[in-house]
Amino acid sequence: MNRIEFMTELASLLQDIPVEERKDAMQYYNDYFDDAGEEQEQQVIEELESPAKVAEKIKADMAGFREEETKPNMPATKEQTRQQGEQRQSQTGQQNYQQTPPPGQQSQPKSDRTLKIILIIALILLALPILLPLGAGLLCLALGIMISLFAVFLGLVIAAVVVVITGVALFISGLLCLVPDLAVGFALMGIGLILTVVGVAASVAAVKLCAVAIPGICRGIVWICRRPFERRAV
Amino acid sequence: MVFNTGAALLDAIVLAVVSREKEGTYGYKITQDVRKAIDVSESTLYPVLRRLQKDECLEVYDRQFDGRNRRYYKVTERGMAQLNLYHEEWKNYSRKISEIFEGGASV
Repeated sequence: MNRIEFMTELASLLQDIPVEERKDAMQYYNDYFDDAGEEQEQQVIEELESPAKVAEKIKADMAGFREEETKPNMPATKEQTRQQGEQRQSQTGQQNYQQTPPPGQQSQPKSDRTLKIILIIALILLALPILLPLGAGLLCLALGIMISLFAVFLGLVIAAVVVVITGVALFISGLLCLVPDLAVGFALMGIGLILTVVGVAASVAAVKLCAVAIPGICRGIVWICRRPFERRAV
Repeated sequence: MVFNTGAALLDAIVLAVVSREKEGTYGYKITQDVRKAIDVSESTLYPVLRRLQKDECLEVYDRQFDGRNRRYYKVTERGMAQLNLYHEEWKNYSRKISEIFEGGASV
């Protein structure tokens, strides 16, 4: 093992401690190798035994520091608590550092929060290819439903208006038929009048129905459209 | 060495070694100096330095050396107070132990 292999392995073993701690430790051992000099490199590596051993000591001491808080004016109790911390650490073995954030450290929650933000961004980026077409699909579906509903109501109105027009046309053609054929003319005029009245009534009814239904549909569409955006914003 | 070096004694030795250099000193040299007195493995010193730094007994700064940044350690005021406390404790402790070894009468 050479120096670069040693440092690389140490860095990978220190992945589960806060960034600040890792950088500091890496700088220390980098300096250490530099100051020892190239000819001492193998000796230093032998002395340090292995990256695992170095990493273990760094983590064990961080666990100890966590237990004791900062009481540098009481050497006896400090040592006791540190030993307790070390014992606890050795009992649990390779304890994950992230699970129990130290109470007195500031770098920990900060890096934790950054990690969370990065994770959320990554999640959004990963979900985007799914969410985007899904959202677009839902939007198109809503649009389609809206247009077809509008068409149905518009159709009703048009049908009613057409009945009115037919009624008027029949009445006029009845009037024209009065001269050659009285009976047919009256019959046509009667049917025309009935159709006109029915048509007007139907038109009024259809328009009123539209007045009630269309704003309701619009509100529904808006609500449906808003839902995927709300979900994505969370 | 037959005697164990406890964490407090190790802290005291490191503080003493660093305090001898007015301008501060660096990791490799601290290790060499400490190893003149006691037998510790090289990997033991870094956690001690880091802890003392967190306890605000040591401060660090980087200085250019040989075309690179070298990290220096310096004892703070708090560190000096702590060192004095350790020194007093040590004097008491070693005197008592010596008395047992050499006189044995008055403990």
